[in-house]
Amino acid sequence: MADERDTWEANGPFRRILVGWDASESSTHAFGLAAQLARCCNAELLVISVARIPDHVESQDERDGLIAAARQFYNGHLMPLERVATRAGITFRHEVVSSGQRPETIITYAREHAVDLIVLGAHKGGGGFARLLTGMVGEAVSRAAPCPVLLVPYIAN
Amino acid sequence: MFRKIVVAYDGSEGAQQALERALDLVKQAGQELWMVSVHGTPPDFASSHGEVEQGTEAAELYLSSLQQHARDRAAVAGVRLHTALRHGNVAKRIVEYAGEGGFDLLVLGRSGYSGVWEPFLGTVADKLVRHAPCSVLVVR
Repeated sequence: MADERDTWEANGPFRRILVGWDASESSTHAFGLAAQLARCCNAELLVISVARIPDHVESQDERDGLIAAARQFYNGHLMPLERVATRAGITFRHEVVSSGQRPETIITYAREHAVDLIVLGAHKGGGGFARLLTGMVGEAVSRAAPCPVLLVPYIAN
Repeated sequence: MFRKIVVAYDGSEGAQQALERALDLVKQAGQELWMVSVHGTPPDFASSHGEVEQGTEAAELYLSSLQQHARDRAAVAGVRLHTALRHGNVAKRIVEYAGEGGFDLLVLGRSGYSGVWEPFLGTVADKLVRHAPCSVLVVR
């Protein structure tokens, strides 16, 4: 009985979609596709941004300060997402999560919140460090995620 | 949403899940789905020209029968499945196919055969994630 339900869950429509968003153009582009999917599947849409805390930060005050700064930064860039969401007729929840490493944070969050799809932007073309970094996050997440992962390419001008 | 979807298929458990997911997604894409299967050449065990040919033939036969099963499965879901067979470098051929066909989504499975070597070499899935010209859905 339990097995049947698991199979259905595995192949059914997406119910809760998680977007990893870092305010980059490629992640904002990925959010657009996730919003369409959320509308199609009538799914809940969660967006997380990761405030990376360097290893050398030890005091709680310093930590809180970094998280507050990250929250301010991301909140200041939310406008395009809100526009896209309004146009698609959906709502989403944005959260800033603190951690040392991005892929692990996204995977842990997905597991804890029983997410059934992770959407990430993938930088194509353009190049250099940003491409390498987003590429690596995408690969790492797709390797270890507990659920399907959708990587959305973004062509930089 | 997605207009044209292709699923990479090698008959493994992961590929099977990818097919099921694609069949589900394609409901919004006109009930038409494409599939590409690639056999890597030459097989590792072949040592003579004749053996290479034999191996190729056997692999093609095997993949064709897998695709036939997949077509039957799709028909049950009311989906028309177009299948293609390629040979050569698996990741390269799939990327080429996805690019030439103007697809906007490639669906693939994660759990395949490559368990032991994955940490060292990276998998076909890694290469596809990196090089595909369209969105990639990695299913597990």
